Amino acid sequence: MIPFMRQMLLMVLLASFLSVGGVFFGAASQSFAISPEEQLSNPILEDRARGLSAQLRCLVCQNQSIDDSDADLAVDLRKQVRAQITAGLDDETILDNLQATYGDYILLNPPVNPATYLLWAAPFLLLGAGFALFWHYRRSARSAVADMSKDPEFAEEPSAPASDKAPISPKALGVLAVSIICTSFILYSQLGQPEIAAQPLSKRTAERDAAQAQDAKQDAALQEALMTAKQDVAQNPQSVESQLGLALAYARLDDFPNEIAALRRALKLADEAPIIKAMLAEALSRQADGQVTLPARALISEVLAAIPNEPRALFIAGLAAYQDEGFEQAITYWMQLAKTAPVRSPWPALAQRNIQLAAEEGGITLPEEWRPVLDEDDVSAIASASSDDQREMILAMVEGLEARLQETADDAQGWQRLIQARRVLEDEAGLLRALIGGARNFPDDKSVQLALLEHGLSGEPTQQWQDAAEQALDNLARLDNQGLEYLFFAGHLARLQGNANQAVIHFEALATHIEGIDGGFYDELMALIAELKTQ
Amino acid sequence: MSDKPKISQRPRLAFTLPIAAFFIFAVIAAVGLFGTINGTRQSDQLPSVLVGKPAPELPVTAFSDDLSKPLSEFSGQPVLVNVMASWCAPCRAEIPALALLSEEVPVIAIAYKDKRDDTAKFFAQYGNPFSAVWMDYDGSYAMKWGIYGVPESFLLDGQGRIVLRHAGPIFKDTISDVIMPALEALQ
Repeated sequence: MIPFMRQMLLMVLLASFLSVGGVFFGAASQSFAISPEEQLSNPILEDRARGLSAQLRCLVCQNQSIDDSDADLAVDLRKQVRAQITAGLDDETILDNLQATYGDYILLNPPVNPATYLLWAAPFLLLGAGFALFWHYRRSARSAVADMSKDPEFAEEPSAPASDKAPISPKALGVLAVSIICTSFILYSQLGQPEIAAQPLSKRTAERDAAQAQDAKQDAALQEALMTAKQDVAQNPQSVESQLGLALAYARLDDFPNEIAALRRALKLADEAPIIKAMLAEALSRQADGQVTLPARALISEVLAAIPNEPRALFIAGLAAYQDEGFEQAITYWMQLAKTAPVRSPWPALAQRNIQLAAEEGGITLPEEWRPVLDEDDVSAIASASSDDQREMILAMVEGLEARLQETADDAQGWQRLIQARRVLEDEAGLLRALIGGARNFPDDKSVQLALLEHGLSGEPTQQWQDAAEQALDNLARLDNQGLEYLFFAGHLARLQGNANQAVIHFEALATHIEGIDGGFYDELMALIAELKTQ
Repeated sequence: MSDKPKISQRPRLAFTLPIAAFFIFAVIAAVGLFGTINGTRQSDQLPSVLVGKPAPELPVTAFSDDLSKPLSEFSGQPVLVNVMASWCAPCRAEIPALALLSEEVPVIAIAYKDKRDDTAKFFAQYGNPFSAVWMDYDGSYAMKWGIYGVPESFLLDGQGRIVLRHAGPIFKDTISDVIMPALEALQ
C-alpha cells in the first residue's frame, strides 16, 4: 500500500499548487459600505446596482469591490452605476462604459481576451498536467511491478524492492510538505501584519453616530450656558463677573470675537485689572491659532510689569518666546511659572511639560531637578508593558523620586511631581507623606500648606495628618493670619481637637468676612457655631 | 533488469516537476512582493486606457473669467491637464514643480470637488501656475477622465489626444524623468 500513499501525497502537493487558481472563485464578502441615501427606491434596480457594484474594483483600495469600500471614489462610482441604471442602461453597457474610462482593471473578474487567456487557462492547464503526471507515474510503476514479477530474482518479494527503489520515500515527502508549511508561516510572521485589527464599517458608523450624538448634546449644553450668561449680563450690565462668565461661555463655543469683546468690557469695568488683561491676551492668541500676536505681547508685558508672577501672563510670555525660537527665554518664564504658581492649579504641570518641549526643541540640557520623572525610554518601556506591569513600573519610578527627595529635599519641583503622582495613583498614604514632606520643606509656600490641610477634609483625619496640620497651620498663620483659609482651618483643627472655644473664635472671625456672600455656607457656619457654643 | 533505470527515472521526474513549478512560482511571487516593499513595483500607477484617445471634456464652470480658456484654445501645442483640489496636501507640494513646468507647456487645472473660495485661498497661499482653471464641483467631470485620486495629470498632444497619465504629485524629477521625455517624443 505504500506506493498508493505516495500517490496520495503527490496529489496533495499538486492540489496545493492548484489552490492558487482558486483565488478567482473566492466568495464575495458581506458588505456594509453602502449608505442608505445612495440606495434606489426600486428594490429590483437596487439589487442590480448591488450586483454590479460587487463586480467593480475600487481603484483606491484595490482588493475591495466598490460595494465593500467606503473610499470617496467608490461612493462616486456607486452613484454613477445607479445613475446609469436609472437611465435605463443594461448591465453590460454599464460595465462597458466604466471599462472604457478605467480599463480592465476596474473589473474584479478579469475579462477573457488574448491578454488574459493564459491567466484563465492556467488552473486547468495545471490540473491537466497534474493528472497526466499522475497517470504516467502509475502506469510506469505498474509495468515495473509486472516486469519484476516476471524476473525470477524478484519473484519471491515483488512489492518490497519496488518501494525500496522509489526515488523519494513518503517520509521525505512528508518532511517537505511540513517544511513548506513552516517556511510559509515564518515568512508570514516576518512580512504579514496579523496585529492589524478588523474595522468593520458598521462598527465605525455606530461609533461615529454615538460621537455625533455626544457632540450635539454637548453643543446644546454649551448654547444653554451661553443663554444663561447673556441673561446674567442683561441683568447686571456693570458686573465684571457677568462679563467674564459670558466670555467663558463664548470661549467654550470657540467664538473668539465675542469672547474678546466680553473680555474688553470686563477689562473696562474692572479698571484695567492685570488678571483680565492676561485673559484678553490669551483670547487674542487663541483667535490667531495659538500665535501670540503683537497686541497680546503688549498686554502681557503690561501685566508682568504690574504683577511679575501672574501665572497666565508668564505662560503666554513663555509661549511668545518659544514661538520666536527663544527657547532659553521660554524656559526661564516657564520655570518661574512652575515655581510660583499654586500647586493645585494646572499651571505647574503645563509649565513642566512645556519646559521639556522647549528643551527638546532647543537642544538644551535641563538641570537635574527639571528633568521629567519619566524620560522617553521610560515612557516607551511603560507603553510596551502589560497594564499590571505598567503600574509596577510607574510605582517603582515614583518610589525612586521619593527616595531622591529624602536626600535632596530642597527640590520644590520634585515635591510637586511626587504629590501629583501619588494623587494620580490614588495612594492615600503616599500622598499624605508627600504633602507632609512638601509642607515641611517649603514652609513659605502657602499653596503646599493649604494642600496638606485640605487633604484632611476628605475622609477620617488621621493622627499623622493632625500633627502635620498643626505645623502647617503655624506656617499659614505666619504667612497670612487673617486669611479666610487660615481662619477656616484653625477653627476646623481646634474643633477636631475638642477645643470648642478656640473653634468658635476662629469661625466667628470667618463669619464676619463672608457675611452677605450668597450660598448656604454662611448659614451652615452659623449653625455650626451655635452647636459648638452649646458644648 | 534493463527496465530498472526507467523505473527510478520516471517517478523522479514526476516528483521534481511540481517542485520545480512551485519554486518558479515562489520566485515570481517573491520578486513581486519585494518589488512592492521597496517601491520599484508601483501598484498606484495603474495603466490608463485613455492613453492614445481624445481627451474627455473639461468642466463647464471656470474659476474666473481670465482663467476660462477652453482646450481648443491650446490646440496645436501640448498641454498638461492637472486634476487638483485645495483640500489635497500633495497638490500643495506639486505647485512649485508645476510652476516650473508651466514655462514649457501650459498647465490647465480641474479643481476636483472644490469650493471656489477655497481654491482662491489656495492660490493666494501657494501661487497659481495654471493657464486655465475649471471647477468640477461634484467630481463628475474628473470621473470621465478616469481619475481615482488627486492629484492626477494628463499630458495632451497638439491634437488633444492623451499621451501620458501620471497619478500622484509632480515633482522636479517627475518632470525630468517622465514628462520631458514624453514631450520630446512628441516633437
